[in-house]
Amino acid sequence: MKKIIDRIIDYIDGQMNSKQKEDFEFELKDSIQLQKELEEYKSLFNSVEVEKSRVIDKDYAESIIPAFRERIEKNRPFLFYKKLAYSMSVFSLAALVILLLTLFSSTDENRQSDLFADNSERNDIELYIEQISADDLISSYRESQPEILDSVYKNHYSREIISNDYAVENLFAINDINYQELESILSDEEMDFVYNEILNKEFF
Amino acid sequence: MADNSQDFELIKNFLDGDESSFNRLIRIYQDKIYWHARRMAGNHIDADEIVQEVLIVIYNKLHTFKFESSFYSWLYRITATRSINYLKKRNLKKFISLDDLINRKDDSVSVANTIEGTERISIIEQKLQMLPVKQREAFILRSFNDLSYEEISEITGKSVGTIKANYFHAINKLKELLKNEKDY
Repeated sequence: MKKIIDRIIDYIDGQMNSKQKEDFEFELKDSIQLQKELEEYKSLFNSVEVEKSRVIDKDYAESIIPAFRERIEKNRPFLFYKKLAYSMSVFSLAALVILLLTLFSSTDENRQSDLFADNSERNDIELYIEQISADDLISSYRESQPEILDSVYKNHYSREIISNDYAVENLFAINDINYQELESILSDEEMDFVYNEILNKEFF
Repeated sequence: MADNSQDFELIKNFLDGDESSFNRLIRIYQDKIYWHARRMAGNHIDADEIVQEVLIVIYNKLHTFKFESSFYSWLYRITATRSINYLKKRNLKKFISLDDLINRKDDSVSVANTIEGTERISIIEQKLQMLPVKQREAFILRSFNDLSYEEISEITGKSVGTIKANYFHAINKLKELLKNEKDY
């Protein structure tokens, strides 16, 4: 069973079917409280009807479309600049994305070559490569730390490969060389010769 | 309810480049737009601003009208949404700026003075402003615009149950608010 208030609203609102309406009106006859409630709601709806009959001011009604047309005309140049600003912002965004991608790829390239160096000592050695002769470097590190020397060669020449845009197959070929194994087979003089050849880029 | 075929013809003509068809279409509905906005906003100046916003939206978006539903429902959807957005914006402005709040109060007084001479601000119009926005909207669409619950549901995107609940709450609150008014 619906609340009495809901039923009153349904009754006024014409939402009741004939049976519901008949029952409600029967109930209404015997209930003074219900009659009072119904009157209050009816008063509300009567004032709504009065309010609905109000008409829009004629002068104002006549001014609506001209005011709108004036706004549209004023907004036209603004609309052009708005579109221009939009196009420029899209272009700027695209340029920014390209720039970021370029930076990211170059950073990634550096990081790729850095994978060959595992510790700061290797970085130090790399710096030495730039500053001192290859012969001094080889002689000082060959005995004590051949693995590091090996890694330095890989790192150094891999960078060369990347920066000079050599073919990927060549890169794999260099990385696949087992320098330790090579050192065990060759004599010191022969190794020196090989390393010198590599340093002089004759390998390529 | 308005004649769909006449509306559709005017829309098609406008989309074909006839600007005067747009004016004719708006003349049919401008009173409905205004009164909805007026009852939602509670004053003429805000209502006028909403009307202009609604017209601009209709002008720019009419090419997206699908000719599947009535133009009347489509128009009410825009008017209802714009009215609520405008009220939100107005409340936010009041909340942010004290100066603006003071100015708004002055505006309201001047608006009331201007309109009172020619138009009576009814008590029910004043009391409507005391209702929560959703209840106000449901009451206006149902009682003043004579829309069915289903139509209101389509316009507002709310369920029929929610609309009914808002409408019933609005009626009960208004009844209480109006109970002790002398002029009522």
